[in-house]
Amino acid sequence: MEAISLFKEFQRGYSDRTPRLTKIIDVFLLYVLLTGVLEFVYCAIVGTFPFNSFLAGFISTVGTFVLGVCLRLQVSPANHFKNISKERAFFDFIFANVVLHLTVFNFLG
Amino acid sequence: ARCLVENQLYLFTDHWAHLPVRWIPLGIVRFTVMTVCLRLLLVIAGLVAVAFASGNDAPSGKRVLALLDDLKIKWTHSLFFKSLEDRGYSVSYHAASDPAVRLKKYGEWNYDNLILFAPSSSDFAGVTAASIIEFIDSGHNVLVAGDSELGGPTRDIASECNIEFDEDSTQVIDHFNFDVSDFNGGHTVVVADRVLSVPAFFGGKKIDAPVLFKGIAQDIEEDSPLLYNVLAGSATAYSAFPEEAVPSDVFVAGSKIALVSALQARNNARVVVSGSLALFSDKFFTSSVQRYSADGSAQKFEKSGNEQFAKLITQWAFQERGILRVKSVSHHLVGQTEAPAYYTLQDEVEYTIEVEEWNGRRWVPFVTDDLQVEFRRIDPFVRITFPQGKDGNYSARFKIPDVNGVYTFKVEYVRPGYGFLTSIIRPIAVHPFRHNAYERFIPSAFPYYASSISMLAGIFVFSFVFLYHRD
Repeated sequence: MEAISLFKEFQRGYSDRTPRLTKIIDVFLLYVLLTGVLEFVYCAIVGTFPFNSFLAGFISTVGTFVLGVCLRLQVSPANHFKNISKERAFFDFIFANVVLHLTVFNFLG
Repeated sequence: ARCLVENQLYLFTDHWAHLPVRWIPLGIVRFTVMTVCLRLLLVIAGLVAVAFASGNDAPSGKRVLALLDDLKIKWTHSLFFKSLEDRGYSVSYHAASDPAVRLKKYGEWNYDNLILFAPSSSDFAGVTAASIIEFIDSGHNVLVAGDSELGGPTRDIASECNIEFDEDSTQVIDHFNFDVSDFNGGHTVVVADRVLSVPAFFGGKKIDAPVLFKGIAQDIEEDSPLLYNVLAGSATAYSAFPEEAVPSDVFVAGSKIALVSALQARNNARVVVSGSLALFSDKFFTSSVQRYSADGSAQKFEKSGNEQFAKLITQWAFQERGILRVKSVSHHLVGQTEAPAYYTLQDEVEYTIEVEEWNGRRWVPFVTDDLQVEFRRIDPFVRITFPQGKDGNYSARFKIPDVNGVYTFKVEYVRPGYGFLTSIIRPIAVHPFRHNAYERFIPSAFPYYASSISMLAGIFVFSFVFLYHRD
């Protein structure tokens, strides 16, 4: 009972107090997380052949998730990244993702 | 010296006779020498061709040496020797004690087959037991007859082939299967009909009447893959001294007794050892056979099976039957005709072999349904039984396994009564895939490809939303 009321409190607080941009990022992060979980479950069922492809796919999801979290940190007003503009944060996000996915597609085989 | 006067080339006639001898042009000398040489070559080639044509690359030749105790045996066994000569063999008869006869001269064998009808001789003068063993080791055939009185050399030769005779003066005795003519004797004229039921030995023919046997017993090693008990004793036979009481441990008894045994050596040499010289005698060939039975009710055969048995077993012994050879063998990728330098994993390969059998006169296709080929790298990775080949052509298709290495194609056919057939092709190289010969996209990795692409797609969509959202 308390858990449910706690969860409802959290949910209301979240929807009231988080800015729209952060919520957009959160949706994207949720999507990436689900993809990663699905991929891991597939590997657990089918086996690790080919292992390099599994690692590449998994790292792409995990890496994108981590970069998304970094973007959220830099963009969210509650944190003290005062001297970094949203555009700069976004550019970092895209650049890091490009590097990550270059590696991923090389390793994918 | 060059002749400057006449420069033409003359035929080998007297045309050049008017020239002074020392003026014979160099060209003519060369020419005449050439023509003489050519003619000599032609003659030699013709002789060689004739020699080969008459031989017809048979597995064994037709020269037989018959080593006898006593030349009298030639007459007491005349029907047997005559049937040999009628089949085209040229038989030389010598006594075993003859010091002049030799199997080998200047490294060439004088004979192709040996008949050793000298059981009681203990001195072999010209042809020794050791030379007979060498004869067998070089692929030639021997027919040996023993007898109750058995000398050393015959015993030694048999024991080199893992065939042990019983002691000197023992005989095979059978109180239930002896001929009626021996009723008052020691029951040593044994009536034998337990002939080895392997068709290849006798060409599929059945011996019509029982075989008469009077002689010594042999014991052959049971587990040997090379030895066969061609004519076995009946269950009631035993080997003992005829005049004495039977000991508690007999050397050999029952159907373990080999009355006539055969060795098929790995080099296709054949040795047939009979414990009885009388088996081949005219007396037994022409005599009638009737097993003794108390009420006289046993069947009487007018003619014993000896002549038929002797003929069939010597046909086998002298390699007139049951010799196989590989006529041709080839392997290639399906769709090609030449063997490649190497194969790669998972190639489709076709292997063809042609096998021939000697039927006494020529090589004919050998048809069977249990010929197998192995594709081995130490252990066989693929083993295929050929479907029944037409005209002796056997062909099989298979896929090279996923293991690279050096392989061998091996066909080995070992069956009772047949000579050994082996065909080995080695080395066959099987290479692994080149790095770009693997499949480009692995189907089981498609979800991983999909997730990476979906990440990029998601980032693309997200970036639009991020940049153009309205607060």
